[in-house]
Amino acid sequence: MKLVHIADPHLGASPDSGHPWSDQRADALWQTFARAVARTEKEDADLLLIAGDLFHRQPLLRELKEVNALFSRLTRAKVVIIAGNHDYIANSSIYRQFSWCPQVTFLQDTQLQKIRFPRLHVTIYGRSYHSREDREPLYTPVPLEPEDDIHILLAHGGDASHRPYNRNQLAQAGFHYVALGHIHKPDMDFSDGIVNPGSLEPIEPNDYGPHGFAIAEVTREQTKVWWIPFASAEYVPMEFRVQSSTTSMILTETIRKAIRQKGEHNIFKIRLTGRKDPDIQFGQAFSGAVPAALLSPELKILEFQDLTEPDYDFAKLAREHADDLIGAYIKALTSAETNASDPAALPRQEQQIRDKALYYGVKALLDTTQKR
Amino acid sequence: MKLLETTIRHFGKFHQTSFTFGDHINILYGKNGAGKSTLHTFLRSMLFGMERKKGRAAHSDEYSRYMPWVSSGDYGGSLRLEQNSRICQFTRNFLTDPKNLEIFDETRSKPVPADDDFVSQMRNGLTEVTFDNTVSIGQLRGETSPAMADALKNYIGNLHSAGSGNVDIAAAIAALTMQKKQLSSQLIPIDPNEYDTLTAEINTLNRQLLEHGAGGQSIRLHERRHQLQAALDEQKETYGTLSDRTREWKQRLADNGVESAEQLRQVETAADRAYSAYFRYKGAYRFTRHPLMMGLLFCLAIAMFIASFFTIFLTNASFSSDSFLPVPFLILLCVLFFAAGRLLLSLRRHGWLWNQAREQLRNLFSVYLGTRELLPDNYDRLKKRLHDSAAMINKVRDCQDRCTELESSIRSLQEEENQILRELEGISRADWTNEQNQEQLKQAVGRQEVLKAQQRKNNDISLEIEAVKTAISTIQAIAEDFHISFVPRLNKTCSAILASLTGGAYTRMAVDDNLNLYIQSQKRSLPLTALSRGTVEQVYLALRLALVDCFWPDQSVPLFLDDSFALYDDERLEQALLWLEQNYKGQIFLFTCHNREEKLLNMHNIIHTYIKIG
Repeated sequence: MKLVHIADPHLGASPDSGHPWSDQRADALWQTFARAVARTEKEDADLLLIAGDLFHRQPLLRELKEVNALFSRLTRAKVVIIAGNHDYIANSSIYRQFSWCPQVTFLQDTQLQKIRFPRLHVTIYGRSYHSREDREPLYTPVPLEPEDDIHILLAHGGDASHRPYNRNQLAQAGFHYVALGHIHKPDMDFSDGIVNPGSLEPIEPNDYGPHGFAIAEVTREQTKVWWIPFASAEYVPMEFRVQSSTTSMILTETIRKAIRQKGEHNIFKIRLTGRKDPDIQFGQAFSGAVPAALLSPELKILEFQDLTEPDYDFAKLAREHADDLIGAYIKALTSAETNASDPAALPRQEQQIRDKALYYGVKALLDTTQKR
Repeated sequence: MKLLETTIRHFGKFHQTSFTFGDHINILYGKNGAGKSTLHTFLRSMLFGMERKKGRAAHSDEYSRYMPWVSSGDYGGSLRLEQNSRICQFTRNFLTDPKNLEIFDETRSKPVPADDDFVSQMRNGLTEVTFDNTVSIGQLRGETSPAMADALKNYIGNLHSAGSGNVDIAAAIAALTMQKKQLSSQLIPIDPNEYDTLTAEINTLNRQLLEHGAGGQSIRLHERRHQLQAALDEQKETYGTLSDRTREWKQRLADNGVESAEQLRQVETAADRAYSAYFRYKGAYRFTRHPLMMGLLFCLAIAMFIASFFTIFLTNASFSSDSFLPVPFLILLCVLFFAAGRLLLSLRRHGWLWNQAREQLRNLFSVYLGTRELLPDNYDRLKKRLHDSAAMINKVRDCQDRCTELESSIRSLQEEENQILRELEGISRADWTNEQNQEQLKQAVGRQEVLKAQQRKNNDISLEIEAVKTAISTIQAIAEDFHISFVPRLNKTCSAILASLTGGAYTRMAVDDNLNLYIQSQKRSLPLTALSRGTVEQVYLALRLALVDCFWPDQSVPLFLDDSFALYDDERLEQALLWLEQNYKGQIFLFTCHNREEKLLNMHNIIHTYIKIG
């Protein structure tokens, strides 16, 4: 029996909102979902499981109709859906009244529900969310009947405020396949039959790495799982170490090359580290803004952090200027304040300010020093 | 730095004039207008070049003032000076370029390029600012300029500096201040109201969206409406069919001449009667059927009646006479005749009835069957047809009843449909509002994200600004610290010099950050306005000498005292000269138009160089 397991499509979300490519991402969520359903048809799967958060919020009628139309094209697969903590079934939820096409079963009960597919000898157990949070455990023991069926648990959760579970306990519950959702990061270890394929597309900037869904062939004796990378874009964190020989143009070129190599369709979070020439500026007048050269519309740069430090050897400078103002300045800002009550390190922000002040002051003093 | 000799080619009133200077005190005596200040200015200009002012000031600046009265295409001269055992000759021509300078290094016997570092070195670090404010002491021009205060601060900051340059505190702080301004200009002000408004808006929208469940009921209503429409269509169709059929049948009945059930009943009764009559009177004698025969029979019957009547008459007559006819016989005869007559009549009648019946049957057949043939089948057929028609009439009536039912059913269904349409309209409006709300929500969230990002950026910028501020304040604090430790020293030096110069009359003076002066006398701080002019001059002299001592502790720069002692009384002059002779080992140029200085120096046997100008 072949099944396709999709989790957290989050249709209707607008990731990266405020950025120019936000609408494109919102559309990509829909496109990838449609592709996944088409793939289900192509794979001739028997079941399509949606492990919650089909929608990012309460869906609109027209959105339901779109999804229903996709499902109605499946000629063989039966679809089983549960609601997650984002599209939970509220009192006035449209889920309650929408009539899906015959292929779809939506497990809407507040208690664990089961549905049996006699021809496949499969029984599926599942429970939707009826509120934004649910601290009840994901799994409490239930009798798995009829005995010679394949038993599949369809569930959404995995952290403290959303149906926590104990992996060992769940692995020994007797399910032949546990289809999980909620945690967006895919878990590549499914040796115990507990599968979390991660969200179909990355939704938040911290959803690094490839995303996709799972296909499995399940028999009573054996479960084989494949994870299919399927998302149209990834969030890629990149770090570039600069040196004092790195100029802004060199850096920009390097970044562009790296982006092209990884694929311009991806979304990048860029961080600069290392020691730079104090006279060179990468971003705008301060760190944080994306340099103008990288503001081209095809590039999707979500973040640009400049954590470089100017390449001053403060110790050496302090020695060289031991008797004058520069030396005294460096000394003043590199020795921590001796607080009678608190010998520990300064609060992080204050330390940051002192470090930056050291750089600013030394640069200004050195720049304006007249030759004798 | 020592000035050895100078040659003025053309400057002011001097043309091709040379002066040779001594190592220590040089008295430069000249009457008023002889050119002392000119020489002073010339020496300064040889060291630093001349400034050309622009515009209208160009007419009255120094450059114009000292332009040679006789034009000769030359304006300048040369100066030989010694610094650190190196002797150089500075040559300038202010006409070609007020800052033009040629240097000939006599020690190495070659010209050297006049680069800033070398010149600065040769001048022993003397700058225009320090020259004007320390070594060059004029009359009534004792106050120091604000630039001097900065120079002093810089100097303090560079105390004991082993580095390769002078820190310029003011410039560093100016640069940092500029950076701070740049950073501040990048702050994008965020209206906190906007953020709060957005949050409130988002909450409201979320709540609204939850309350109206995004069009859930409309599905149900749509389904019901479809049902109604299907039912209506069906019923309307049925109604149509039934009406058509009813009409058809009615038409057919009309064609067949059937008007009503009543009529049919009558016809049937008639047909039955005719039919039974037909067969009842069928046995009537054939011959009686014929109309002629019927007439004959009628006549015969009349005859019989007449005969019977006659017989009655006879009977009557026979009673009266003995007639040959017996009475019973006559009565019998009468009866017989009567009966015969009746029989004949009835025969006739039967025949007539039969004819009638036959005619009726024929008519009926013709009307309802279209034939006049008297076949036994036809009667059955007639009956059947009559029954059919009756049945049809019933059917028509049933149909009509059904149609009426349908009419009312359709009406009520339509009413229900209209009701649903009204509800749907209401819902679709709410749905549309929901869509709008969703869209608005998306916009609001997006805008909030933008604001949050801007806030983060602002926070980052603010951090940078804080850092710059810290840098500025730290530099200022350190300069302050340096100053704090330095000023007492300066004060001490000033006070000592002042005490010497005033012979102990004033022993304490204080200098602040901006080189403002205060005199202490008997525990009171006196502003300079409280002092006599002469004393003020002494105070400034003390300050300048103290500053010279700061900058050049080795006294390796010449002092230029341009008529500085004009306001001193003899006693003070003596004290000053003695102090200078004892305490200052460098070159001293004393410009004066008096003889006092010369006399005093001679009196005290102080070795000096006397130069007469003019």
